[in-house]
Amino acid sequence: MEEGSEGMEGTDSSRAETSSPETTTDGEPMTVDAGDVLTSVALQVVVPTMEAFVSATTELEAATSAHLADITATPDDAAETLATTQDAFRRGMEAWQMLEVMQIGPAGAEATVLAGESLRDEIYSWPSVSTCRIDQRIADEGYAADDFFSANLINAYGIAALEYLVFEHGSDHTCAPQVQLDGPWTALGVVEIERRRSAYAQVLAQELLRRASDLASRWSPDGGNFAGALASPGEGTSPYPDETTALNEIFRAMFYVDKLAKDAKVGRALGIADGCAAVPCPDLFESPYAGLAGPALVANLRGLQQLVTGGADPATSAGFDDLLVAAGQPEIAESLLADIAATITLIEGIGDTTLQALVGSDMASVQAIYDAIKRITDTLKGPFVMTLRLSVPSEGGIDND
Amino acid sequence: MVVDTSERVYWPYLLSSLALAIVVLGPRHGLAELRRGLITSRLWTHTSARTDFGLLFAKAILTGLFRIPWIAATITATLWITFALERWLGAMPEPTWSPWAITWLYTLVLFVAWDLSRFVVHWLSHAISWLWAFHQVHHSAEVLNPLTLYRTHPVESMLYDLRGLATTAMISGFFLYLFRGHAIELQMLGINALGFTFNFLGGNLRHSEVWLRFGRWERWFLSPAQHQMHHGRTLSHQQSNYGTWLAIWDRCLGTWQPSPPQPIESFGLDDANHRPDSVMSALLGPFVEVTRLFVTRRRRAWGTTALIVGIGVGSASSPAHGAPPAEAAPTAPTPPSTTTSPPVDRDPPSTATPPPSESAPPDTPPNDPPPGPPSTATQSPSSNPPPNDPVEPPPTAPTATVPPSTVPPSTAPPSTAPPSTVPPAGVEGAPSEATTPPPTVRPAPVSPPPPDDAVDFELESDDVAAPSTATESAITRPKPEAAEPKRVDYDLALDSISVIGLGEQPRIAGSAHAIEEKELERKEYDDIHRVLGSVPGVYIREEDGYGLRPNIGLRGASSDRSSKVTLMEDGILLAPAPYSAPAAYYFPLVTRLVGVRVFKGPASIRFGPNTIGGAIDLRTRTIPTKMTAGIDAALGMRGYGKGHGYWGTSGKRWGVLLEGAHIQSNGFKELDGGGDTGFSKSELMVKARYNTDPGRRVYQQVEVKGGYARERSLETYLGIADTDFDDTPYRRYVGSQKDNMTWWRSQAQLSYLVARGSFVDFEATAYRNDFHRVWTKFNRFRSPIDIRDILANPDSGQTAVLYSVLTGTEDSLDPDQTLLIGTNDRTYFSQGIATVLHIRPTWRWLDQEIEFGARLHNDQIRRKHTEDGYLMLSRTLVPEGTETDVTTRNIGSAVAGAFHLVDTLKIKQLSSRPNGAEITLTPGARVEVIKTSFDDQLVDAQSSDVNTVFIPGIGFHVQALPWLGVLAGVHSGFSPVSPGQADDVKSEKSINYEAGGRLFYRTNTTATRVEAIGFFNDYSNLTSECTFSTGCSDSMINQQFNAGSVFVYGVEATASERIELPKRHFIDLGASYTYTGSQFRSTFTSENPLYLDVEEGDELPYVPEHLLWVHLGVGGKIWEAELVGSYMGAMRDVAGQGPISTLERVAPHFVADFNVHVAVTRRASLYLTIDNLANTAYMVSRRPFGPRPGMPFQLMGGFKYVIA
Repeated sequence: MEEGSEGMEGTDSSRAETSSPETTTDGEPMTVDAGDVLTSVALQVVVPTMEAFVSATTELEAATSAHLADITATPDDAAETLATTQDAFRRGMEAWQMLEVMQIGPAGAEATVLAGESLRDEIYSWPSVSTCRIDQRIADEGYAADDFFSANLINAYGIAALEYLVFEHGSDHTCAPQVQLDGPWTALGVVEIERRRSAYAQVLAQELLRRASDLASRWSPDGGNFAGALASPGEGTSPYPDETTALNEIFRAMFYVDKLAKDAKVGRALGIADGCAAVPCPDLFESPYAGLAGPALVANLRGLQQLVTGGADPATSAGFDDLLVAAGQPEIAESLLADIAATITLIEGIGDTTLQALVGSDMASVQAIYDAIKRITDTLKGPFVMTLRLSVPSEGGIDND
Repeated sequence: MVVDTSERVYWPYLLSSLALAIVVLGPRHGLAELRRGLITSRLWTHTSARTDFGLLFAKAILTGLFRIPWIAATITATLWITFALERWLGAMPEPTWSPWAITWLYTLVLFVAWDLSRFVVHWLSHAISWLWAFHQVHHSAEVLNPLTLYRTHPVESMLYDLRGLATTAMISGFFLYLFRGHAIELQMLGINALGFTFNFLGGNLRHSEVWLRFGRWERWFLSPAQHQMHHGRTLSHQQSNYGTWLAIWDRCLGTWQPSPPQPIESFGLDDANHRPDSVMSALLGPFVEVTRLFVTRRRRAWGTTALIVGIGVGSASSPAHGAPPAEAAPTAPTPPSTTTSPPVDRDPPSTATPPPSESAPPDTPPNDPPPGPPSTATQSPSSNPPPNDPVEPPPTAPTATVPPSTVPPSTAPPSTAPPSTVPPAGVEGAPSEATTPPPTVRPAPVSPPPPDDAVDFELESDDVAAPSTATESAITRPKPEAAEPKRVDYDLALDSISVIGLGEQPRIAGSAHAIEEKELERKEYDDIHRVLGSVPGVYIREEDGYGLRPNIGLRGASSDRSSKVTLMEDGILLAPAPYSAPAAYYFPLVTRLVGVRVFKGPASIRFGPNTIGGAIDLRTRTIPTKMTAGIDAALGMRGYGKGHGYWGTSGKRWGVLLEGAHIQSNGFKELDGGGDTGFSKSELMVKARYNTDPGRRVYQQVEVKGGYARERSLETYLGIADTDFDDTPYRRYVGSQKDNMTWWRSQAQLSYLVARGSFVDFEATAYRNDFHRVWTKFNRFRSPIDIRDILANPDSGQTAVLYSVLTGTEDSLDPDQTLLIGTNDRTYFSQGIATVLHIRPTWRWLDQEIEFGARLHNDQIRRKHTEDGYLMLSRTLVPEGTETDVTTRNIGSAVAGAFHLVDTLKIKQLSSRPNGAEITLTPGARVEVIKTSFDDQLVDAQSSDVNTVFIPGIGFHVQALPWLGVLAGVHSGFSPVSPGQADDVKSEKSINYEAGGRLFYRTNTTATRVEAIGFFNDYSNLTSECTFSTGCSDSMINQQFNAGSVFVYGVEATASERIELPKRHFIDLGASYTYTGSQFRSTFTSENPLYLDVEEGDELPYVPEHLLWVHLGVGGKIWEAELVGSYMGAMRDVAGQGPISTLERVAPHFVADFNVHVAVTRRASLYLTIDNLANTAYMVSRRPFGPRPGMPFQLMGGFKYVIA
């Protein structure tokens, strides 16, 4: 992949016509190089997924605004707009969960990711969520302050805080007694608390949209073109000195499935990963208010799937699977993609039952989900990384089990 | 027997002996001599000869009975040693040497070992009462014929056989192991080829009366005449020439004597314990005497036996009959002399000189009363007059130059002590005594005119002026004046080894620095970092501000936990497990140290295993020669308190010392929410010594040392964020509120010293140190985000949340916010035996000190690391309730054999001027054979490794002018691989070069000293080890990494000026400066947080480019004040080049300290010290976890009272 950011779309379409990642016209394995994979991941995976997230947050922002207007006008009859908001939240959440496995560049952690700016934490801070801080801001209406986002930690805003505001409607706050919130909280009254929740949610949704748009713009070839930087390592202002480094950065992002999806999102509740004092720990699942732990996992895996294949359409994309084929190890790619698909099917098979509920009644099913994800990560850490000569990130090197 | 090649009376040997006599003496004279001395009926029919035959017959029965079992035992012992070595050190690879080389080496070593062991047993047979009782049987022969060889008591024969078994088994076992069975002895007719040769060359004439001399060759090979001389009736003859084949052993021990021109006329003993002509008497007489010895003198016998059993060498007692052991009846006494006396040859140097007369010995030991009669054969040591009371040094003596703890005042007044025994008058231009200038002129020994005959090898001079080689390890036992008492504490003498800072500029090859007791006491530092501040080339990364766990590096060697420096206390490895886990978690309380010595350059190869940077030896108080006691109490800011006391005394044959010290503080860091951050540390030490009469020629000493120390320190690895450091540098986050280290350490040492004058000494020390530490401290959050990233980014994203939890402003709300507090429980031991032998021969214009050291060492570390989760709830750490996680459980151990040989050659008299040019050359080498083992009990994996390394080095010093010296040196640097490392991890190796000059100029009122040394260390592989303190995660702890080729270079310079003013006032000025540059020579990525992504040209972390120390001292008769400033340049936290980024920069800082002492009375003094006079807030390090401060303004006042 020699081209720079300019004309990237054109070259991409030409590749789609002439090069299948799987086979050539005469049936021989297609030769795909690292540059092709970087380009494909940047333009066919990350950029479209971000655009989808922007679309979802746009919808979410609109829904929260509508709900705020509704509840302000008719405090006792805003259930419909609330339901709309909750639906919009679910779509937004699933769109973001695709991006959770794509913490490459600005979204990544500043300390550990090349060109990372920790923008992910500004959008989704899980597991850092402080419902008490959110309740405090409700009580003092701090969310309305101009410096709200600079004066508060990420545990009081972002998608996770939004979930609490949109899905939790109890009359009590969640602070410990020593915080002494009882008085101010009770003084507000239920109606005002609900209004403030809606207003708070709307502020967060607005900020979310701004952040999402900003991040997407940073990636867009029409904007900051970080996609071009990823696709063209060693050129211009690309933070990646070479293709190997860039591939390793994508590979590092994929390890989200190991440390977060497998361990933090499932393993902790089962007591496999550290943090659960009395097994099981249903409170340690993600999305406790919306019950989206299962769908979030599915979205994570779909994101991983796309990184592996290099895009939604295998016919036009170049991914790690193609590199494996080129390396003469197609069975690794097949096995990996099959395991991902099987795990998605397994999780989707639990239907509307939340993982929180399931772990109490059928822990074996949750264990099966954990095991299925582990098969994926074992492949990633083993044959996948060895064949492609990638580097296992330090945080992914050791299993706690 | 005469057909047994292993017997000396094998017929060809007999014939060859006859032939040799004819060849050497000429046909005519030879035949005549043979007729006179061998082929004469008198020798074979004498009653004494009949006893020879009788004993031969009696013992033949025993020999026949035991021969086969004896051979079997030898083979068994050999194989046992071979297998034991394999078990301890692992199998050796197939040898690459040629078989001939192995065979010759084996043959030679076996021959030398046999000869040496024979010599030792023979010498002991004369030196130890009960052995002498049996050996008299051999010496009572009144005529000598070849069969007299077998005229030995069966007990003695058995002793010799045991010696043979042990020697053969040890040497053969070692060679079998080393060369995997390829070691084959070169034999001639079934015996060692060299032994065959020597037997062939006249061995039989040793026991004959054929007076065959070797002339000049007698200096190397003992002639038959010399052995016949040994059988002479006079004591001086009997106590000479103990050797069999080689003369070198006698020369080393000073017992070598050339054969006189005329034959010895009378053999035998005047007062044997048996009748010389009776076999039965010869068999029983010795038993009777031993019984008598035991009954009548059981105390002495017990002591002797204990020494022999426990140590295996030496006794001070003398037999009641016959010739007394050597030290009881010195035959070569020396007239009392002064330091200006020339050395006196104890032995007649030439054939022109008459042989020593029994009635008029040429010299008398200085300890014997000069006017008294010479010792007689029956005189026992107990009959010697008791020593006088110690005599105080003259009031005008510059006591600062001779601290009472290092040189007994009664025996070595400073004005007379040899220069090398005089400790420095303050190191590096810091004279330690305000009242008197240090000695201006080193006594220049005037050598006697070289003898014009063969005997120009100076064996030993017992006079005071015996010229020491004055090298960095010269051991010179202080010699008493004639009228002085004889009490000499040899251990004290050992401690007077002076490295540098002599009255004038040191004339040593290689850079070394010493800080002596006076300077330590004056500054009242309790922090080793501040103590070493004045030594150039020493890099210090502080950690806790008190120096509890120092990080010392030398010349670019990593400072992390001082693990690349060989740390010693009194010459014994100090770290809890120097080979298995060299991190120095234990460090002695500086307040009880009386000296700190830093060795760099070639000087460091004496000490191992780390020779890259060098070695630091911490000297503790020695047993005083008279009752001495002292107390030191101090109070200071922040709950600082110090109590220190010691008491010691000595008798004629014993000494004891008790010492205890305690220091505590509430700490200067301010814990969020309040709380103590200080420490409490206590140490006890006891020493006891038993010694022989110091005035005896052979001095022996047994010393035991025991110690116990413990510490509780509320110390943490957690630093603070840069933003906080700017505002509140002494803040400590509440997340570290549970951090706490406790440890205890015990030490035990048993040392044995034997010395003969200043000519030869041998010391063996068995040691065992146990150390157990438990450090509970904040390790990390469960979140994978590194704590240093949290501190570097406390304002955004997840790190801001975790920072808030760490500081208690947010509660822990999810498992990632759980604080993991680790308990690193480690148990160590370190044990071994260290021996060192010094021989100081003098040969015309050449002084030599040959040092041979051997150490067998074993250490081990057992790690059990656990982590527990804690939640931050309302600024309090609350257990999370999860199970304790065992993160590490392993055992690392090491067995190491280390040997070193260093020869210090001082070439004198290069010109006719008294202070003419002088060259000192110090070649040496060290060999380390290290076997490491590692058992990872968590994953049930074991590994082991064997590493052998050869570390050569050479130092060179030319005293070109009296005021100018030039030095240069090169040596191999080495640091071993720890147990359990990956196969590709290599040991750290380098070639280190140094060169420089020293200038010293003195007038009546000033002394100027300048030294500048450049160094260049060429690392072929630099290694780094992951520790918690460098910020490594638990999974990486103890892992070593190769860092490839590195250049480290720099300049060390010191200068000082002392100005004497009227009325004993003075001004001291001093400065030292170090420039260090470093460059990685390759590009690589390391998992060690100190290195990370290294590019060629990057500089080493934590090596400041500039270090400066300045000093101003003023004082008068009873007072002294000092201002010290130290500047440390910027340091990198991570390897890199160019400007240092803010978050990786340890900013430069300058700190000034002040102290003043006032002597209230002769014994009592008051002092006041201020650390960090300007109350500068400065960063000492960014490790382990974030920036941490140095100590702020600290005022302390104290009181001392010393009885001495």
